[in-house]
Amino acid sequence: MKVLIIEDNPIKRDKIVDYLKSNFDFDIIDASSFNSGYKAAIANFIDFIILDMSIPTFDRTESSHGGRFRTTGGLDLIDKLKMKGVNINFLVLTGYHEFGDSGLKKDINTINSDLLKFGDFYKGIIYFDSSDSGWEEKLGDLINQEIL
Amino acid sequence: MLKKLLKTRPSKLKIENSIFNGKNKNIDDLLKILKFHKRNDLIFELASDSRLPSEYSNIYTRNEKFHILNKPFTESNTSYIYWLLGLLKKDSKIIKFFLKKQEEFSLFFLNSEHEKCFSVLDEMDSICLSWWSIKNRLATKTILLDEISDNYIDELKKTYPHLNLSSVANEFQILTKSKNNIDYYLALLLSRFNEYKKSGLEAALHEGNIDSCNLLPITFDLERDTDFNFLQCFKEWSLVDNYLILKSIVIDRYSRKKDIFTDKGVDKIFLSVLKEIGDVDCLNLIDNKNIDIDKEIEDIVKSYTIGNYIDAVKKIDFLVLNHNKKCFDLFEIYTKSKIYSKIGFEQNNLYNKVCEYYSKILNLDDDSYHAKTYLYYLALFTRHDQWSISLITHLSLDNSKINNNTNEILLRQNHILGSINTPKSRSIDFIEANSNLSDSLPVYRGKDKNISCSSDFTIYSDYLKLKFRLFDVNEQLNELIEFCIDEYFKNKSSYNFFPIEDIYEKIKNIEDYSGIYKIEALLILDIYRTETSGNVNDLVNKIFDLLLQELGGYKLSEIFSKKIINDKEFVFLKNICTPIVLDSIVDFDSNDEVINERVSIIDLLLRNKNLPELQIERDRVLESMLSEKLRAKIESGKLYVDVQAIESQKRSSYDQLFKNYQIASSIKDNTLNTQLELKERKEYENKKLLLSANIYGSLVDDFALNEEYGLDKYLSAEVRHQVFKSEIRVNFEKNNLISQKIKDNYITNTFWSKKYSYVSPDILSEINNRLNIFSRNIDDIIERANDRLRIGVTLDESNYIFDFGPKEDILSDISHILDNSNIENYFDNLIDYMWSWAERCAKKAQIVINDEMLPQLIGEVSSVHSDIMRIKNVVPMQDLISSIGALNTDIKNATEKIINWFRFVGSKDDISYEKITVVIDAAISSIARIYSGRGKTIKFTPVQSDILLSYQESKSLFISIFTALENSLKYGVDLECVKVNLKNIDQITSLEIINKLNNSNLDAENLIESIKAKWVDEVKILNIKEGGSGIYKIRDMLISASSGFCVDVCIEHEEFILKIEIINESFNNRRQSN
Repeated sequence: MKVLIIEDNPIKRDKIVDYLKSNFDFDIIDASSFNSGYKAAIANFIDFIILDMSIPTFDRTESSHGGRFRTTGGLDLIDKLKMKGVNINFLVLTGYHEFGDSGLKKDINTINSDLLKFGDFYKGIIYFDSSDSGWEEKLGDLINQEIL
Repeated sequence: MLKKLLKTRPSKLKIENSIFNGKNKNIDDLLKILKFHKRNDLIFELASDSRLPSEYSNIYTRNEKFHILNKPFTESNTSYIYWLLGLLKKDSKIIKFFLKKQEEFSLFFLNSEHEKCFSVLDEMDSICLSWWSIKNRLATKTILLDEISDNYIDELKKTYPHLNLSSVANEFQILTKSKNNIDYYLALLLSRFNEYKKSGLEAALHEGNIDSCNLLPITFDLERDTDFNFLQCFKEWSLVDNYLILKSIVIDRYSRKKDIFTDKGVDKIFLSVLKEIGDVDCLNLIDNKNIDIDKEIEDIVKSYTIGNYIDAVKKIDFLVLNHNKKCFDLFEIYTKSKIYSKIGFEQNNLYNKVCEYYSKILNLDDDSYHAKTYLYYLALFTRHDQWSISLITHLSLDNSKINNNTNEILLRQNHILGSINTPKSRSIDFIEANSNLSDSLPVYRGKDKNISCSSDFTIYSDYLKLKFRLFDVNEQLNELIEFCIDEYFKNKSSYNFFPIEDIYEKIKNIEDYSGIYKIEALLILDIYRTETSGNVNDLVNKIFDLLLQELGGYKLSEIFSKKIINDKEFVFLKNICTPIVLDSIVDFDSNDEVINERVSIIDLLLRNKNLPELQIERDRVLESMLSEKLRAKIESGKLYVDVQAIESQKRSSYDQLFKNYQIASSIKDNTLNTQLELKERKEYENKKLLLSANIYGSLVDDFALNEEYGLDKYLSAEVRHQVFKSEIRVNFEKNNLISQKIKDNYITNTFWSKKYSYVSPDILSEINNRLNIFSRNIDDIIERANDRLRIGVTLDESNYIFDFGPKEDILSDISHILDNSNIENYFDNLIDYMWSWAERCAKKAQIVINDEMLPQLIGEVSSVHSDIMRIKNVVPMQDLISSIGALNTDIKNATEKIINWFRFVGSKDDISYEKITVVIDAAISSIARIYSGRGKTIKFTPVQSDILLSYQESKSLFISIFTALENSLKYGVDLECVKVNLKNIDQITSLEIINKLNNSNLDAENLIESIKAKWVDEVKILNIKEGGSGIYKIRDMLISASSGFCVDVCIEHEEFILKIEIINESFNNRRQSN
């Protein structure tokens, strides 16, 4: 099974990759922006996407900061894939948690409601906390229940 | 008495005669018991009893008692409406008298008879003082006499010493100054009501709704939902005012087709009270819904319909002059009749003035914005009067924001006019229902539905409306959109009549876009966004994607360079094809390509039409590329504010706020020293502070909090949400010294227990316990610091580091900036102030991280080190001890990196500097990447340089190098590389951009002379003529930024050389900050 991780924070991305490698036999591809995430999703036969809600437009390099930072880049990406006729199962792994505690001015439940428009392809939203292993458990459960 | 009442069974309670013979306490006690048992029938009976002492009623005849508290209802209570209706019944004669006076006042007012207006108000005041009277006195002075009424408002405080005037007086003062600009007054009220709504408190929400209902016509606050049960918040107002609020709630609820009262028991009582008062208006709504049209009105409508305009005008003039209320709903007929018959509007009465202004709106006059503003201003002043409701209905029906659902609400509110309501104001289906009328209509009134020429119409808005209707009936969405765009390009006032909400909904709900004209759809969405500040980004992106598919390419600059660009395409390229839309094109591989495409589009547009705004944008777009590069280079990109986005999207609303501030500042400025006392000066200063607070509040919303471009977007997503925490924590994780938690309990650190499996389990267990405590303490320290990296906006001192709360000293600074700025520079000055404040906060963040969090972390490491040394005692566990030892360096490095996050790119202060080599690298790499695909190369010879440039200097140098290189690559000899040489000679850093000349027969001397001949101030115009990309501009930009820059050109060995010299001593003594 081919999994695409779209996450711009390398520390968080490494944690997700480590967790998936330790617990599942997935072929993992990663991307760190809206643009590279979209291209990776189109170019590969992806079965499942794990993505962050806020991502830069382009990959960050030594000479580029990645262009516009998209607060709802994850959502924009899935929208764009849908328009292209590419529907892939996905889940969101976000650091946003409480109401009013994010640039989004939305809490995790509101974001969840927004994502329901993607129907069955949307598998859920998980709160990521680097000090708490709860996200691992929830991610594992979701993959087992919804993907495998 | 209370004891006796307490013993009485609720059903046996009644109003005893004796209750009125004793002290008021007996009445208070009885009322308490009646409220407790919800005996609303008896509450009504008590309040309506003529023997009720005057202290209980809100009839204020003496100044000192005005605004007294009506004690019986101090809190929200569903019984209050019964009490109020009882009081209205008791004093029904006064209300009846008031209604008569209200009508008289309206008619004198519309006839501009100010003396009679004052006389009516005096009569009313002698019976009962009221806000209604105060406001109308103010209206008479301001509108009819054109007086400056500041003194009257000031006098009110002396006349009514018990009146709580502070907020109302401020509102009045702003309203009186809003003749030419009502937006600020409206924004002020709406922001107040929004505060109520956002409070989450039910009572506040309802109080806000009733307040809104009292002050604003329904058009301005369509969301409000009024509830009688919260009327008691206005209990201390006069009975007259209470009645007006009650009546406006009745109209509001009726208009929305809601039950007037949710409590069924009130209905009958209310009807009986209305009949006693004789309020025909309210009875029109409640008791008599199918009222026949008045014969005189019918006659006038008939004259108008058949084109006998002079007769219609004559009859309406007669009604107005003879103070007949039948003129209240005839504004439209009177206005149109005068336009058709070419009779001028007289200046001697307000009725004519209203219609003259209305005619300007209908005919899309250049002055139509001000005309509309003035009419809204009038309608807000006279909110509760019948003619005002009618006027607002007519104005709103022509409003583009109003859709079909809202039309019905507006028409229903007009039912209050009863039999004098015109047929058009009665039914939403008027046009369809009267289609047979078209036979009797003259041609210019739309008799021929196929009419397509605007010149056939005397009233231009009628032409627009007819066309819109025809497109709608024929389901011609593309044609409708095209028509709207064409009309908008011709005259922006036409937007007022567009069915824009319907168009937006239709575009949004299209399932198959293949038949839609995409450029036109994007343009109408852009018009919608411009006029309403609505967010249409998703829809724009969707349609834009489909358009690219149709065009078969993504580089629009190339696609459109091959054709003649028409007006619509020009606006499309200018307004829609901006980086925020272009960056969603996945064929672009980098932000540089996006920016370059935008620059190419701007260049293409400039070749078609040399607009100064495009040249300004070109520089700004390039500047955004620089900041992008700098953010990447110095790792400071975590914090950013997209000021360009704020300016492009919000500048017009800031301009409005600034103008409002100037209006308010001028209110008393010139009289302060001579006429006002010290206390009043303080009040004046406070008022200015209030307006500064309003502007500052908007700045905080945009600069600090906006989720699209404000500071918190970056602070939240790029720092606070796990990024900061992960960056520190990972150092503990990689040394295996911190574990994760499950449901708040830290899990066992298995790494060391496995590694030291041979060590005593007791020691391992103790070490594990200590590491768990360590994990918790470290997470707590990080969490505490992380939690402070937020934006504070409260008045109190905030624990949040980025504290943008409206503190007095900040507001005073803002006020000072506003006082010393003009419309040209105030925005930059305010943004500079916000930058400097953000910089202060960022410095504070650096201090908190470096001086508070870091020592705490090191302290914890030291503590765990000594504890583990003690626990392990002599057991060799060197790896564990080494891991702990390595932590100090790791966390110091991580802290240093994080501290660097808190630097801004883009601030114009004098303390942040960038290395010149970084700026040159950034410019060269930006353009080199773009042209490398086209077979053109840049050969760069770098050297070391310690010169530091301010942001302004960096920006000028970046744009200059970019522009020079772009020109060289575009116009130089094909397949020849462009050389960039950087040299350090004798304290001068020299940058040369060299390209082979295309024409070797060129007269080099003449060319250089002609270029240099333009380097005088008198030809600044070249800045524009050369399209912003000429050598003149490069030189002008650099020498304006610093006297340390010199620019020269020469031709040597068939090579054109642009030389930029940087005199080192001009840039000495600078230090790059952290």
